Amino acid sequence: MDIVTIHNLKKYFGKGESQVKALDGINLAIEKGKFTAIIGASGSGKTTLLNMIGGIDTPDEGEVIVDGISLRGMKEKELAVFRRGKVGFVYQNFNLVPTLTVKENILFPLSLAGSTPDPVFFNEITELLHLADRLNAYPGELSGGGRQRTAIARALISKPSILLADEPTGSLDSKTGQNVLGLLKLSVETYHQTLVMITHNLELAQMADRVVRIEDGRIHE
Amino acid sequence: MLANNNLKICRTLVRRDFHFHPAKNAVLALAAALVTGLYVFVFLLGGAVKGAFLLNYQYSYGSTSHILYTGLTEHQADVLSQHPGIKNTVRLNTVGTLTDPMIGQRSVKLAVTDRAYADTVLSVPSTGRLPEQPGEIALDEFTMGSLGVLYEVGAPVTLHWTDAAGQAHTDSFTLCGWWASPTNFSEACAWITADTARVLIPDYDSEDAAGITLGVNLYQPRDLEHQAVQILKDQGLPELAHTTNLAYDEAWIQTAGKQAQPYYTPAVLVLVCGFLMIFAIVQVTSDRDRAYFAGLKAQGMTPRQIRRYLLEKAASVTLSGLFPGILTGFLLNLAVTGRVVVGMEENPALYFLSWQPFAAAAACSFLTVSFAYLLPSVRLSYMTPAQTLLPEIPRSGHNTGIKNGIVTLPRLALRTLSRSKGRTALSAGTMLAAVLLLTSIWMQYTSLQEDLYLSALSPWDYSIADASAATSYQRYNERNQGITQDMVNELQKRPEVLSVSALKSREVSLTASDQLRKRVVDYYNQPFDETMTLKESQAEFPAWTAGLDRFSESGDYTALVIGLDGEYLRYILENCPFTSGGFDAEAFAGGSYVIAGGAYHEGISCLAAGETLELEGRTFTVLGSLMHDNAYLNGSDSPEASFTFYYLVPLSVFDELFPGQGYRQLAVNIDHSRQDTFEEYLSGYEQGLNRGVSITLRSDYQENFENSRLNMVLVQGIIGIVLLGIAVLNFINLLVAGTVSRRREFALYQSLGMTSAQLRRLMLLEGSFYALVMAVILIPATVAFALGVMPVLIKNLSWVAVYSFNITPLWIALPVILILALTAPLLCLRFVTRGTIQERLGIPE
Repeated sequence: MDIVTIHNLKKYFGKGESQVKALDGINLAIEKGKFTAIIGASGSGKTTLLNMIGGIDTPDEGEVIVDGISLRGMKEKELAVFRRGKVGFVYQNFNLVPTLTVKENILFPLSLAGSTPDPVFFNEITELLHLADRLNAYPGELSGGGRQRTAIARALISKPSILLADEPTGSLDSKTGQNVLGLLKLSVETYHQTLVMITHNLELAQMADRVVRIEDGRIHE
Repeated sequence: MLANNNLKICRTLVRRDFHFHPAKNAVLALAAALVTGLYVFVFLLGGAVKGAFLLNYQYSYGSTSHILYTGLTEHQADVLSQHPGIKNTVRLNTVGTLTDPMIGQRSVKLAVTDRAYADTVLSVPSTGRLPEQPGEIALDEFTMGSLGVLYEVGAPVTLHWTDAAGQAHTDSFTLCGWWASPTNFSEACAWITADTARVLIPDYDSEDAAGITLGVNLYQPRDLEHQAVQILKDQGLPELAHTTNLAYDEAWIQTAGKQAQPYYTPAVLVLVCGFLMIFAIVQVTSDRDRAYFAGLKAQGMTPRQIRRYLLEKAASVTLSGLFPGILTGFLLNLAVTGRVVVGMEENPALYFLSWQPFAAAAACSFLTVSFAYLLPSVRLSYMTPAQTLLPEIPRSGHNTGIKNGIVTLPRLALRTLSRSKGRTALSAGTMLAAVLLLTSIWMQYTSLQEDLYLSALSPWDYSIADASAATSYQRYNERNQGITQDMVNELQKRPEVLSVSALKSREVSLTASDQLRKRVVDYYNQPFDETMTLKESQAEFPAWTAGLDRFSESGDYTALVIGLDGEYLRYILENCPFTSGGFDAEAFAGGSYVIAGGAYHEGISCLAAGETLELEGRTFTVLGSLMHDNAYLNGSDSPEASFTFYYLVPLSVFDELFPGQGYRQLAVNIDHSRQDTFEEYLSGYEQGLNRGVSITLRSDYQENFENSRLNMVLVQGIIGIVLLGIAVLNFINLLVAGTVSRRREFALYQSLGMTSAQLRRLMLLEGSFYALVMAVILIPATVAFALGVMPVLIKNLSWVAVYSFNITPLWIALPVILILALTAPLLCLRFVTRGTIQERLGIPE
């Protein structure tokens, strides 16, 4: 069963001669519960595709359907609610809120939704990601690995259908990167979630169930 | 290893900075212009005030010449004029001195017309001309008033004067012109032609005559007294009488400087305000700048080079704002100085203009801008690039975070507030300083009561005095008929007039009884304090002492009989305590009683109640004696009446005693709502007269009061408003920087599911918290300041100051703060959230 279905997705930046075709008619289906790696050169359209799936950006043409919900024509407020409930993001540069503690950062999406966290699930995640003893620390007091584990916990906390990770190990050394990715994979397996990850690292991409290659805005599998 | 000391690169970097960040540098140049403008204004105003004090000394001196040598012969004047240190000279040939007793304490020289000299003593006719024909004379208005000379070209003038040999003369002239001059209060010249002078004194200009006054202007007008003596020595002349111009005296220049000092003090405020303003603007991009410095340091830039770079940047910013700043300051000076320095025909802003204030302002602006650039960067310049780049991250403590971990929007807003504690404190501190300063100024301004001032300085709305009693230097001329009965009648008929009170006075020679003589002698021989008697305390007034001695020896004295009614009588009864008897209106009006006035000191120093007095053959009984305060009398009396007793009678009784005597002065009260029409009438009436009367307008007092009141707060007020402006800019800066700098953060929130409505609420909450912080700081501090500090300050401010709690500046500032706090972040949010989340997160594709 596909959790993500993409039809003829196009996204252009700029106009006239300087126009860049970031996505040039992408058709893609991502199976639920699987780990999909997207690889490609810089500027090939990987991140744009990921952002389209996550509702962070809107396409010029085509349609994205996530967990049965079409994002086409959604207003910003609907997209925000969609992101909050259906998608978890993990970025290369962590994107944590520096003024919030680890615990507050993890629970931030739930705070925005006004939802009550499940303490058992919260404990489970923080144990799993080795954050239980650093919950009151600020992001600035953590190592790179610690920050990325916090970002993963934040992505998991609202039990999203799909986890989108953009170079989650890009800012980490190789050993920490391996650990973080291991934890990420373990998490999605544990909670039966779908993981879509962008990476330049072919070695890491080998850990995925499926590798999708993008070149010049087109899919080459 | 050699340090990299190439400083040229700094200039290149500065140029590039201006090229790549035009908006920020334009704002900085505007700030520098404002700072320069304020410095220029403060220095120009201070210079004008100092200049006005010096000009006042010059008026007191009576001449613009640096040195005046008097009593010179023609030969001595010629020799002196040839001294190489002398730039130019003017000459006055004095024929004699006016000795008419009505001239009073003023000194008026009868002299041969010399246009150049007349210019230096500001005594050139404004009506008519200088004398050209034999027998013509030009006079100043004070002299004309004292002598009762008509204001008509061709009017006859009779003068009593004494020549240099001491011989008295009485001669007649024809008036050809007159003038009013600020230098003529105590001294003046009466101009005649050389031909007229020869007729009066044939050898007035002979070689032996020592009647020349030489006005000397020096190339270097410093240490005038020393130069005056040296010039005489250099020219081989004996010690000759001379005076030096007060305006060039070092001690007086220092005094003028001290008096003008309060006008320079706001420069300190400009320094602080300017620093805060520029510092706040520089701080908007502090994160980017820090990264920039880290990069420069990583490339090997030394602390010295960084300092040089910052100084060159400060210089460039100062230079960019210099011309508009100078223009702003000059225009401000043009608009304000005329209100501070009053009483000049020329515009003081232009009259006292010089280049020094501009140069000082430019230097001070550069210093201020340099401080703002250098101080925050000194620490950075000694840090390694890595240290420079270390973000100021929050550190966890005991009670870090919220227990349940759920972050509501208000809590998130609070966290944001705590993130910018330093800038919030700076903004709040500046705002507090501005509000306190403006509250202080406003409370001082509103505490000064016009009613109190007017009632004390002008117990009645208008004073109309005979021209011979226009100033206290003049002696009232009893023969004058400047104020006529027709004038009184016309005034009484005016619809605006509520009352016209009149006063006449007459000096009469009387002889005291032995009883009175003994009482008065004993009175003045009583101890004044442990060191002297009452009489000895008046040693500074020789005419008074001579009068008392004459009285002690013979009982003879010159009494002043005053006929009065209305406001004058009310003034006496309210301000002069009775020492015996009391007032009985019916008895006083009956015509058989007088009120006796003695010294303004405890005890009976004149006739007492029940005693009798004979005036012009009529016997009067003393209704009561009082401590006489003669402040209500215009002009002064003869030297013989310096020691006197006052006998107050109703005006009707006075007219019976001295029929035909003119009015000395009138007091007019009007319906204040019709003040303008009445003053218009008075002005027209005065212009239509061919004789002098001295009219003191209610609006003059009001204008004086308003000018004084404004002067007390004007400069500080302008600085306070600028400080408030800076504080508001700082606050806007805080709000804008707090929004604009979080473009990525907002994108992150949105990527995590925050809706636009939630983001707007967050902005409103943050703004509300900022406003709340301001209110929590401003309200108690301002109230405490207004209740605790201001009463003491106002008590010591002035005798017309009455404390009242008034914190209007706070009530104006708070809504402005609230509106800004709620709107500024929301407006910025619209710009900050433009573009996709991906773009704002800075995710490269």
